[in-house]
Amino acid sequence: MNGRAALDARYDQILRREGAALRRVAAAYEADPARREDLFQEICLAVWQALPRFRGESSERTFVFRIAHNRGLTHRSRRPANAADLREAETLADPRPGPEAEAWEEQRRERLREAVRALPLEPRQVISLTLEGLSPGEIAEVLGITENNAAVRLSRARRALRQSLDTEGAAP
Amino acid sequence: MTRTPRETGEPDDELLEWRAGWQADPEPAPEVRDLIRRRVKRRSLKMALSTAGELVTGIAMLVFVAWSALRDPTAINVGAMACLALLILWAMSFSLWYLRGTWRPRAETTSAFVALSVLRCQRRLQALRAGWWLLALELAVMIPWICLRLKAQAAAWSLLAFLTALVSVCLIAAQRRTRRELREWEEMRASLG
Repeated sequence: MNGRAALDARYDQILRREGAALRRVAAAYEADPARREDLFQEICLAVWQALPRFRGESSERTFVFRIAHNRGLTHRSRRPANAADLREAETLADPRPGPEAEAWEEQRRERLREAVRALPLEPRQVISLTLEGLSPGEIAEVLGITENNAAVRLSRARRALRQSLDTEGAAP
Repeated sequence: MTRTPRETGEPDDELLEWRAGWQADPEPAPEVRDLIRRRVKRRSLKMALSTAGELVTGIAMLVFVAWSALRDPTAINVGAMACLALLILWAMSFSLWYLRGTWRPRAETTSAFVALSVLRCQRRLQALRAGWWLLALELAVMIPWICLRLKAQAAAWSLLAFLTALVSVCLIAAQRRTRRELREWEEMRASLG
């Protein structure tokens, strides 16, 4: 297999393994479905462009999540000024068909996604990485913090998420 | 004493439940993966073409400027063309530098990436300030050049006014965008601790 084909195969493997996770990273940074899809494609493009420079200094998974979150932050920094402050929009419900129309499980999942998106940046990153199954050590590798710090942040993030879900659950 | 899952770092029931809900999205099907790959390659090609287009346009302008200087090698003409070439080179390098982050996605840790992004914005603002100086220098040379070489033709003044306005609008827009980005990055740095 030549270099290009090997790269294609590796990229395909990453998409197969992490494609859904990358879509969820995009969802953690963008509430608007069209812009979210755009961000997801930007993340995929960034992974594709960065892949030839991956030298195995970290695990491939950590590498992919670092790129995805960095792209998410860049997306946030470039949001349009006239977008009626997307900080608030981030907490708005997704304008897809209302959860009432969906099954109860889907409602719960949607509530979880919204609650994660509504968290401030720091707990949002930690909790979304945890929900993807990354250990505190791997989270520390992605974010550039110590493992202890990652564990402390995770504990705070869980409390914030629990609170947010409880508040939403209590809302009429 | 028995340690709780939270203390051992093991996921507990609550986390497992959230994780199951969070990861409920199915993996992309092969045809969807194929579509993503095709779109990514198309975007990559589009980016390459647009950068190549900018480079070719810049080079064509430089060739024209060099040709104009050679055709009339008087001091005032060569000086004016040199100033124009400088402005074109600055615009080309700024545009490539701006794109660099898009071309070479960073795989640094989040905290390093945020710090780097703040630095990049600060440098970009410096480069944009240099752009204003360059524009002033260009005007200082072009105004006497139009008076002396083109006998102050109305068309030349109009062209100069149009180009100056265009460059000024681009500089102002880029400065505003960069300041906004810098503010966002600084906020993110503060909120990420």
